[in-house]
Amino acid sequence: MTNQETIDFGYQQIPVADKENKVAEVFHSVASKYDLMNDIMSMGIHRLWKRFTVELSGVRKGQKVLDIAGGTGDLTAIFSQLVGRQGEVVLADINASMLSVGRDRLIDRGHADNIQFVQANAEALPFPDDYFDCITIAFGLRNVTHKNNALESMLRVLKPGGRLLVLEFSKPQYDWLSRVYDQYSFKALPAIGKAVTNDAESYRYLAESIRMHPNQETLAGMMTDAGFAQVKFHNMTGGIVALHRGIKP
Amino acid sequence: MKQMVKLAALTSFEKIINKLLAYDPLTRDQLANIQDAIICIEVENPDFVFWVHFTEQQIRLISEWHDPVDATIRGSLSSFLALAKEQDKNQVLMRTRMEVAGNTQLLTQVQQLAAQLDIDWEAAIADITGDVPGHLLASAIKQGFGFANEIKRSLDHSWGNYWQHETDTLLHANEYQQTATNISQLRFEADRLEARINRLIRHSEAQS
Repeated sequence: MTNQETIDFGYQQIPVADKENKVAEVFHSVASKYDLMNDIMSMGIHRLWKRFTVELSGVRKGQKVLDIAGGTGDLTAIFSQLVGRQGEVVLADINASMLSVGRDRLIDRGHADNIQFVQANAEALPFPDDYFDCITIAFGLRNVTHKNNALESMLRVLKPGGRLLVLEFSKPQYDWLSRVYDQYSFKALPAIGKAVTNDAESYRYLAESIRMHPNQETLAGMMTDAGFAQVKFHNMTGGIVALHRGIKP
Repeated sequence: MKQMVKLAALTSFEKIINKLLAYDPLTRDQLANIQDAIICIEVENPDFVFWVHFTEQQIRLISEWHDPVDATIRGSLSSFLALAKEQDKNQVLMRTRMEVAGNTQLLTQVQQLAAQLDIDWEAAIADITGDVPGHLLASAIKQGFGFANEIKRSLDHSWGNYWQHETDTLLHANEYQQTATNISQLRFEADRLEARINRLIRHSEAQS
């Protein structure tokens, strides 16, 4: 891959080498109000999407869980309770600001004794082979520069039989919902972003990056190509969000 | 969309259960004895499946679970309601033909925890209203329940007397118990007699 190659950043094409920094800028900008914006934008439904992710993870006491792009630690907090003191949860995020907000929030809420905080790139995870029972990446994969590399890296650190869960915005299943969703994403979201975080651009990127992200079937194919077995997806809220699950053979 | 509604309903119900459990720390602490156990609840008519996962201090209600479970209880909605309401759980299980599979010892432990549940309602109300109004309100509710129970007991007694003594329609509980015991004994003896006759018939057929 040469430096001249480009990749999408929302609807823009930018040099591949720049994507990581551009995404980092977006998340540095919104980190402090990330949770508040999630609640406003999804009208609280993101909590149900994440809850369903935890259900399908099947995580039990004593297991090891990696929460990639874990941001402010919503999933990590739940996994920390489920695995107990014998288990381990790693909250990994490439963005230092998000990781810092997540770490402070989890420690303030008393979730600390079985959680590790690691700044890491999903494409090159700094963990041993066959280490985790479960990996989740919630609303993070679409920001990764090389998604295939990230999926392969996740496969490597999962134990055989371990599960990968990818929670991500996807393609609405109904035309009427697509039209309403487009209006909401491109008009309301940037306005809400401007009002709450004084940053309309980051939320314009959010709407564009969702449209550029692979749809349900494509992502399932990518996971299968990366080596995952029994790949299935569940549409939620009419396909606005989809949860993909794959097992390491 | 149905999945989201189910998820939202279970989330709300789970929050209520765990908030109430916090007002009975003794029972909540005993969850540790069955922690990580999962029970599948299959309700029929209307069909509804969910899973109960016991953690160290809380109960999770799960809308979708793809892994093995420790026990399964299957039955109609009315039988589950009866199970929740009535004291004699075994009798409900027999009467309503609920199906139980898996680790029955776990189910007995859960049943014991449910039976010993003693929520401190006064503390729960006081947390919302403050200590003094909470105490007054709880006292009033307790008095109200006491009064209602007294009326119910008195009515049951009066109606019982009326049907048993005035109209001679119903048996007294002791008489019923004695009759039921006699019938059971008779059935048991009849079964034994039938078995003996069958054995004699087989014996005589074998000789001839």
